[in-house]
Amino acid sequence: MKRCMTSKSFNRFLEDSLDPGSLARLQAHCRKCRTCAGKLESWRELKEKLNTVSSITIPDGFKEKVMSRITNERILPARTVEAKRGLAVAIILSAILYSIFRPFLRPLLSGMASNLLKALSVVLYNFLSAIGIDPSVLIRLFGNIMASSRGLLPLFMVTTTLMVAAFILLLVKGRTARQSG
Amino acid sequence: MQDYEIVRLCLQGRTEYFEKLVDRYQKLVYSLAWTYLKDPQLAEDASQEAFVKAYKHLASYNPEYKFSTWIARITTNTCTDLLRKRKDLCPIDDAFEVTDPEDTPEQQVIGRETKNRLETLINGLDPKYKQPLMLYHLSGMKYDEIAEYLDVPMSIVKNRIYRARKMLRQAMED
Repeated sequence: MKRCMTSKSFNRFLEDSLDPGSLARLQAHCRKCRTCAGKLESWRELKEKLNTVSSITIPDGFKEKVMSRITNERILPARTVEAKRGLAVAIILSAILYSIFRPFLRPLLSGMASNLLKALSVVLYNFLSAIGIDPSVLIRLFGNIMASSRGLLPLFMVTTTLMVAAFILLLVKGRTARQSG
Repeated sequence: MQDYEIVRLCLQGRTEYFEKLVDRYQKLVYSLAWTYLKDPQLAEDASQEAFVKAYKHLASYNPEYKFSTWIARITTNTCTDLLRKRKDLCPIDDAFEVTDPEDTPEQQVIGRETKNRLETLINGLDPKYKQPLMLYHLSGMKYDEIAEYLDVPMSIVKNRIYRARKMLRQAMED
């Protein structure tokens, strides 16, 4: 008896991707080999069951409903390329403007960043107080850690910066993916 | 006519051609929505919404990718949004339970036993095998479309579907 059929052949039979020659060989072999005939039967059974379980009917008039809805809609202009170009131009312009007006802008931006940090600190302080944690304990603990091992400060700052950058990237990437579907 | 040609015609104002895309992908979109929402009315609403979104954003479609995977992602996002709004997210393990909404009660009773066993077996599969299997059999996606949709190589998709079938056959024999 010729070599028995492999599972891959039966799998290809299941998805109707066997060429006519291979299909004929498979069927001829299964007429002589009871083991393979049994396997063929079980693959055939699986195929039928998968077709049964996968049968799904589109609701009546679905296409017409969709077409009727889109008559009230208009195709929006593509945003991806334009938005990227706009962002690139904005970054370059900002860099140029900053380099020109650096002496005036630097103290202004530092002040804004400082105020923002202060506001965030106040929010965090109030939040910790509200949930019953004494913020001064945490501040002392953090201060002690930083004082005892000064080497950790740059590491802490780099990690925080990376985390913030990763968070912003995730937000932007998620938004882009959703916009493009 | 290729999908990108239809899209181009729609962008030129021949919006009646969008019907061809609806015709081609309604099964994919509806079955995907069905697997997520498990409710005929919700699935229909989400499918319609997905097509409307696709239409509105046709100009953003990148022809380098298959239209099927693009609209499949839109459908997935639409369903996720819908579920988030309704706050009754169904567990993903049960997401592939399928009942034909068009079956009469008698047909449903007859087919239920056969379906139930296979559904139980399918739901028992690891999601990494179950998902490509159902995308192939239920949504009618091709291997390359599934690979693009799941963002994995086609060889992996083929192998997972093959292994899923083997596991199902083995389980059915047991």
